[in-house]
Amino acid sequence: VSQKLPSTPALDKLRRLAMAHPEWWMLLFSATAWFFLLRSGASCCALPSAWPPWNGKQAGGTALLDWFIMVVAMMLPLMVIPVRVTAFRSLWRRRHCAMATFLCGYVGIWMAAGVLSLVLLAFLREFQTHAHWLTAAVFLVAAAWQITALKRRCAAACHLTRPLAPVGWRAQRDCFCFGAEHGFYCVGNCGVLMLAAMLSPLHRTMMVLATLLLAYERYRARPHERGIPSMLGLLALAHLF
Amino acid sequence: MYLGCFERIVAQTVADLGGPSDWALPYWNYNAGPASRKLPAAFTQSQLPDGSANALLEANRDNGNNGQPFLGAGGLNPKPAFKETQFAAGAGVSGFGGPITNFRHGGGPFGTLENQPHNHVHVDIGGLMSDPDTAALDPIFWLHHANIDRLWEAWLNTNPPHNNPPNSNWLSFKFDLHDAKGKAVKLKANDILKTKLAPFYYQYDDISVPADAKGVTARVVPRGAGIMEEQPIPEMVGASTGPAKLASQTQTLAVKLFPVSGPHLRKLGIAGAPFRKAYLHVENVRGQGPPASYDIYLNAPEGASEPPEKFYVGTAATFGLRRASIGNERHAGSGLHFTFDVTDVVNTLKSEERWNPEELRVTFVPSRKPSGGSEIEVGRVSLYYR
Repeated sequence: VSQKLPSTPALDKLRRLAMAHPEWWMLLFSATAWFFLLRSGASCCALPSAWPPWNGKQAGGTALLDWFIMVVAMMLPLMVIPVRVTAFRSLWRRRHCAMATFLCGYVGIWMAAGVLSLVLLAFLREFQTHAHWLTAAVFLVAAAWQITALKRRCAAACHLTRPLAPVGWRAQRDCFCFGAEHGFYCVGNCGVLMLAAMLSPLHRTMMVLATLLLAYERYRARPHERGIPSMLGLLALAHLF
Repeated sequence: MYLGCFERIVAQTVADLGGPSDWALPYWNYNAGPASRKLPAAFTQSQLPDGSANALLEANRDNGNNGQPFLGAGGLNPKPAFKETQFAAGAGVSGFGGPITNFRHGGGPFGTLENQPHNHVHVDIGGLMSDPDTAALDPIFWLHHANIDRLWEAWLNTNPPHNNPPNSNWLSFKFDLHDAKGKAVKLKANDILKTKLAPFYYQYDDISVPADAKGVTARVVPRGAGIMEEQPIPEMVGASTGPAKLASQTQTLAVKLFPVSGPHLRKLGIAGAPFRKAYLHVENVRGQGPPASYDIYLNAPEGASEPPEKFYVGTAATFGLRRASIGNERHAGSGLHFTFDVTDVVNTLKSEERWNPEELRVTFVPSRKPSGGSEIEVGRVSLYYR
C-alpha cells in the first residue's frame, strides 16, 4: 500500500506518526466537538443559547445531542491510554475497528449517564432562578467527592486493562466491554464535575477548566493530590459572587 | 533512593548506639555461583554469639532458613536484563527499567530487571518477602534490593555503556522520604544517579557483568538514548483466546498466529523473518494466595518434564499478584503483565523447522509451585513483532 502512495520525507514522517498514534482520529473528533462547543452563534448542534438545559426550551433529543458533544469534547482526550492499549493489543488490520468498538462501549455508558443527568435536571428546573447557588453546591459536592475512597477507586480503575480476544465476535465483545468498563469508572471519576460544568451559567469556561483539571488529574497528578479539591472549592466560591 | 535513606537512618542509629561510624548496607550477590544461592549466614542463625535472639532471622520464610542453596538458577539469571539496550523502551517492550508510565504503584508491565531476578528472589524466599506489602519487614529485603541497585550500576557500566533516561519527567519527579534524623525530605532521581557523590557517597566493590549474563551481544547506544524512539512500531501477531488457570503441573497454552498485516513490518520483510525483535507478553495474570514462579518455554517437545534450555524464554515470578489483582484505591486490579524478548528462541525454532506459522505453544513449568490456596489465572498470552 505504501508504495502506491506518494512518498516524501514529510509524508513518510506523517504516516509513521499516524501509525505510532492510531488514536489520532479520536483526538480529531474531540477537537471538532470543541469547535462546536466554543464557537459563537452556535447552532442546535453546539450548545444553544437555551443552555443550560433546565430552562425548559430544549427537547430531550437535542439536550442528549449536546451531552454527546460534551462527552466527545471533554472525555475522549482522557481515553488516550486505554484506546492505545486497545489498538496495540489488537491485530494491526483491526486496530481502528477495535478502537471504534471500545469508544462505542465507552460513550454508550456516558450517554446512559446523560439520560440520568437530564432527568435530574428536570427535577431541578424549579431552582433555575438560583443557578449560581445550585452550581456552587454541585462544585462543592465535586470537591468533596474528590477526597472520597470511592472516587480514588474510580481513578485507579481508569488504568484498567483486560484480555482481548484476537479475532471474531469475541474480539468485538471484549473491546466493547473494555470501553464500557472505562465508561463506568470514568462516570464515577468525572461525572459530578461534568454535571457542575454543565449547570454553570459560565458553562463554556467551566468546561474548559474542568477538562484541563481532569487531564491534569489523569496524566500528571500524584495520588491524594490536594490541589484539585481545593480548586473545585474555589470554583464553587466563584459561583457565589 | 529509598535504600540510601534507609541506610543513613540505620547508620545514624548504629552510631548513636555506640557502633562504628562507617556502617554501610551490604548487598547479597546471588549471581556468584551455586554456593551464593543461599541466604547469608547472618540471616539464618537463630542466636547471636552472646546467646540473644537474632533479629535478622525471619522465622516464616518458606525457604532458605536451613542455610542451604535454594534459589532457582533460571529466574535468578540477570541475562535478559543485560540484553536490554534501553532503560525505558517503547510500547510493547519492557526495557531494563520498565515502560514509560504516569506515576503509579503497579500492576502494569515490569522492567526486565524487576522481573528477573528481583521478583524471582522475592517469591523463592517466600513468607513476608512474597508480598510487596510486607517484604521490607524481612531484613534480607534490604540486601536483596542493594544488589538490584548494584546490578543497575553494572548495566550502566557495560562496555559500551548503557544510559539512564534523559527524560525530565523521570529525572525530576520528587519522592517523599526521610533523612538520617527522620526529617521529611524530597529527593528526585537526578539527585542520586551519581552514586559516588552527595547525598549518599558510595562506591560498589564490584560492578562487573555477572558471569551468568556474560556473552550478551553488546550494541552501541548513542548518548541520551535512554528512551527508545525511532524503532519499528510493535505489532501483535498472535494471541490466545480466553483466560487459563495455571496449576502446579506443567501446562501448555495455544497461541493462534496471524500473518503480519502492518505496513511497517511488511516493509522490513525478510523471507521467513519479518521482524527485528519478537516479544512474548503474558497479560493480566490475576489470582490470590501466595505467589508462584513459572519457567516459560516456546514450542517445547511435548511430554518433557523439563524442556531443553534452547526453548526457555524466561521466568514469570508472580510477586505482587495478590495486590495487583484487587481493584482498590491504588490498583486497577488488572493483574501482572510480563514481557519477554523471545527473538533468539523464535529464530532457533525457525532454523530447526519447529516453527508453525499458525500456532505457537507456550509451556508454563512451575519452578516455584503455587502453595495451598493459590489461584493463578493468565488472561492472555500474545506474540509481538517489531
